[in-house]
Amino acid sequence: MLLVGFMLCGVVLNAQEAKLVRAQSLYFAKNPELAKLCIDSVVTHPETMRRFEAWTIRGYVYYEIYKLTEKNLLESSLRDTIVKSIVRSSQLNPDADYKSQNEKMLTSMWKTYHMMAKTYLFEQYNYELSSKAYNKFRETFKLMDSTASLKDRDIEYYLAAGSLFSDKFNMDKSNVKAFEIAKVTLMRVLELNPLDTSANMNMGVMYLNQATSLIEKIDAGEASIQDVDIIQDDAAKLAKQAEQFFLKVYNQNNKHRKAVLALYYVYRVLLDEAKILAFEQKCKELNIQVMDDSNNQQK
Amino acid sequence: MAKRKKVGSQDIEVKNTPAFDKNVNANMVFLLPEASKVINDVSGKSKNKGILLITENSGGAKSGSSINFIIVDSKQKFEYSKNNAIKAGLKTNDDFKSLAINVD
Repeated sequence: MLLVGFMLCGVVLNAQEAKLVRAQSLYFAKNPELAKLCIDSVVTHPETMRRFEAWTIRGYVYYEIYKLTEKNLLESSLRDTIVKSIVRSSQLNPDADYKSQNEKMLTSMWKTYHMMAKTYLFEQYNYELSSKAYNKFRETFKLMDSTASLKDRDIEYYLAAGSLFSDKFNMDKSNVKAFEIAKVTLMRVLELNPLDTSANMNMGVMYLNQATSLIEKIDAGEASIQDVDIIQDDAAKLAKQAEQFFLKVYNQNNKHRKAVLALYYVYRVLLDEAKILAFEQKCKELNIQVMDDSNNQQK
Repeated sequence: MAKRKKVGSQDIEVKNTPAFDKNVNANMVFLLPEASKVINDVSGKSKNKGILLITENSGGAKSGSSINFIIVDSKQKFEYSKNNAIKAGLKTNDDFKSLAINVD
């Protein structure tokens, strides 16, 4: 990241302005530690604390230290100082050059948070840290343009998290944490776009898989006969939950193969003869093979 | 399930046959819904042999089976005929009755 030069020509510099020039020189001389001492003094002095140049330079000086020591940390006090400095500069009505420098720095900051959110999610499966990074990304992005809409990015992020954790849950249905994360993130997507096909299908599959797991307990003889009624009630409740999500997809496109097949299995759990037959017929029309084995009902 | 489970120390063997074969020494006979017409016949042939006859058909327990699976209010239930069970030569347990829809 390169800061454009700033010149104070043809004027007699007072002590603080001289410090500002010195801080900038030290920055260009790649001595950020000394530059930091200078610039911290400049931005707290009454004569220079309202100079946007000082705050931008401070952001860039701190950036040089930050990139060597804290770039990979989610919680970075240096990064916080950079952002605060740039925001302060922006509040002081900077000229076009400084405005552009400020935007470059903020862009670098939100890109870092966005990258961290992806890394924590896909490489570490750590949703807590990922969402923290994502929220920091949102905050930083909004500092640059408070009116910007992040709806598409939000949908993209929460859908990615929801799909990842719903897959994890579908592979291991005892993974309650994965289910909870998937549910929260996918519902977030559905708040933003109630008709999102992927979110609806993922939600439906998770509920249907829970329902079929319960039914499998009966089929496998693992449930006592006294519990069969309760299990059936629980499975029906879960299948009903699944149904509402699949119907949202089906009602938009009644030839959506996965939704048609999923609804067939939902009605099998619900023992709804008329709908089982209707969706069995739709499966035939769409050339979808249905499995009789409940183990094959899962995604 | 039959591969994994045992009844007491006995293995479970499942045989699918297109028609009832009285020479097969079965403990349980399950008649599919499409075989409902032969319930009477099978129950007659399996009398006093200790065979539990199970059906899945409306009115199955009244036609001769001991247990008949039905769907009531979108739930799987079962009818139980103690009389048919006794006729088949089975010992019955009254605890079982409380879980079933009793037809006698």
